[in-house]
Amino acid sequence: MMSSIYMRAINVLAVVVVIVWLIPVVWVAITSIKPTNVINAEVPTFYSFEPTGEHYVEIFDRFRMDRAILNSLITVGVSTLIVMILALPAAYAVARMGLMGGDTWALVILSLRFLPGVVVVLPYFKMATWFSLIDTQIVLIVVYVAFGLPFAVWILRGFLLDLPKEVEEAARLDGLSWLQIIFRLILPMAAPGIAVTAIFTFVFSWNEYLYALFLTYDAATTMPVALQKTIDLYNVLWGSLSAGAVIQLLPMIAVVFLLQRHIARGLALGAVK
Amino acid sequence: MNVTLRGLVKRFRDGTEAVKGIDLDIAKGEFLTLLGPSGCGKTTTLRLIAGLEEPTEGTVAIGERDVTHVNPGDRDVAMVFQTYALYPHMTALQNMTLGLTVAGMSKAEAHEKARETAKLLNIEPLLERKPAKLSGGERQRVALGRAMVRSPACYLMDEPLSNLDLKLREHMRTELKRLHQAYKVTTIYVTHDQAEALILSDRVAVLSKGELQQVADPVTIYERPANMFVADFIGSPGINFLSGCLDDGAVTVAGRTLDGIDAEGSASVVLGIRPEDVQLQAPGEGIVDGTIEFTESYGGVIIAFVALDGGDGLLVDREYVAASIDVHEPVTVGAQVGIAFRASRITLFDAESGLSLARAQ
Repeated sequence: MMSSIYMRAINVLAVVVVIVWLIPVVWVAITSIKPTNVINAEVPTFYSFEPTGEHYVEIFDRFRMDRAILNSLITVGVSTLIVMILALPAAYAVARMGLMGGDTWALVILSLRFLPGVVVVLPYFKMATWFSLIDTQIVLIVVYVAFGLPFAVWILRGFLLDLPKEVEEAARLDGLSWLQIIFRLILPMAAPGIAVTAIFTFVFSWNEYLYALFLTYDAATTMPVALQKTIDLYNVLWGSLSAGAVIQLLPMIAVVFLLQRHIARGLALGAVK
Repeated sequence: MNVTLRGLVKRFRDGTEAVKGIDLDIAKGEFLTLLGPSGCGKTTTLRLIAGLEEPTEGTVAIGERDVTHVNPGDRDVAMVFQTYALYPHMTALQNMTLGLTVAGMSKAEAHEKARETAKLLNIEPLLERKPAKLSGGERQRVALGRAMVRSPACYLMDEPLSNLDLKLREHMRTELKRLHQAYKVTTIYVTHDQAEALILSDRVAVLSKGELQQVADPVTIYERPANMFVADFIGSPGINFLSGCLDDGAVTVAGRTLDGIDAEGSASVVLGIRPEDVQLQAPGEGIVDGTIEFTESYGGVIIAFVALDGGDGLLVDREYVAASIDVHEPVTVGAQVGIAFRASRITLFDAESGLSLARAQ
């Protein structure tokens, strides 16, 4: 009896949380299809207006959103791929291969994340200038790998520690090499953990604003920076800004929907033995 | 193939010495069990043979080949783990064939071999299932099949039955015995279950704190333990220890001389007496009198626990003398009894060193 009331309370709470989170998202989505005069009306309306695609056209025509999307996809996609390829063997080494002071290394790796990004943005800027990489996709890929890797190693290490060690030992006795163990056993066994890590890495880079702002200005500009251009000294183009925000949100929703089974299992890994 | 361990030492980074210089010769086709309590170094020894741990000192040879620094996969051994350690994302068939295909065997040949092995273990209908869809016993069979299919020089088994329920454990024990007798492949088996060790093994190696205590066949281990640790560890319910005195070949307990014990010299001794060698008699007729405090039923026999009259200094590490009695003999809790021993079956230990002195003839 108690537990059913408790479960009902939890469900109600969950619904409330979802609504609170969804309100701004829905508001943005609605704003993106409102005519400009309705957006600027003193009393906001959420339904009595003629929907329009003008802001979507504007964000592509005037603010080169197509180029920004491509830049975002390339820099974030490539950096996430590189991070995952490097993080899996690195996490395996820290978790399993008896590195001297494995736990200390893990902490050192994590501590790199403690550094606020703004502290090192200037050195990065200087270096990018020396190597003539300002406003290139390469500089953002390098930065996102540098920031994403420690975090990915840390999360993956936790997932790998939860995998049964004997399975890897059985594989060693079956004659598998380290690389075969990582790619034929660890990869499928840790798939939920790998999916979760990849999503986190992707999301962090996808939403990253500061470095993209400092290190690019035109050709390599990513979506968060392109969106910012809808705000100038005198105006905020709410419609275009909302349309851009919706576009930026779409891949996130797609990824989460596609991988939700893995995400749920990944987040539960380690919680229940 | 025979397995030879020489001066095997394993010291871990934290300084723990899990294995302290083990020398052991395991003959070709032998079933040898490493037996001991938790933390005695038996699993570490097995892992050293498997190559999953590097020895700090000493060598491991399989056949004539020194494999001390050879990769686990190149040692021609197969291991069965306590937790089965099956590859969870692969079917039983894939679990069994992975090692073969990695070694270069064609897929068709590997499948053929796996199916033959599966037939032996009655797991043919399970081959397309993944481990999650198998019961504990079925998983254990697949794990066994994965080891067998490779036809290794030696099987290493780390408590393979301890996760099974009692009935299944007994069944698998018989199965293992049958398979070993049929194929006579050298097997090194780790367990803390002495009954399992005594039933399965050609020889048992008892370990304590990283050192070998005794290596012998099960009957010798039970009847002629090399020291008090082995005597204590083997047998359920445990052996009785009584302090006594050896004086010029004569053994006295509680002031009474026991006849029929063949011993020499003089020393302070401990007598090891199995519960089945203790006889309950009328008060005053035995060596010492006592009271039956409680009993435990083991089906065919009852164990009576007797508190000795003024027996404080007489019993060693025990509060009661355990006596095994036929279930049909009358036993009354609280009854006064006399205790006698079958002298011919008493083992004498030196009270100082705990080592076996002599055995009654």
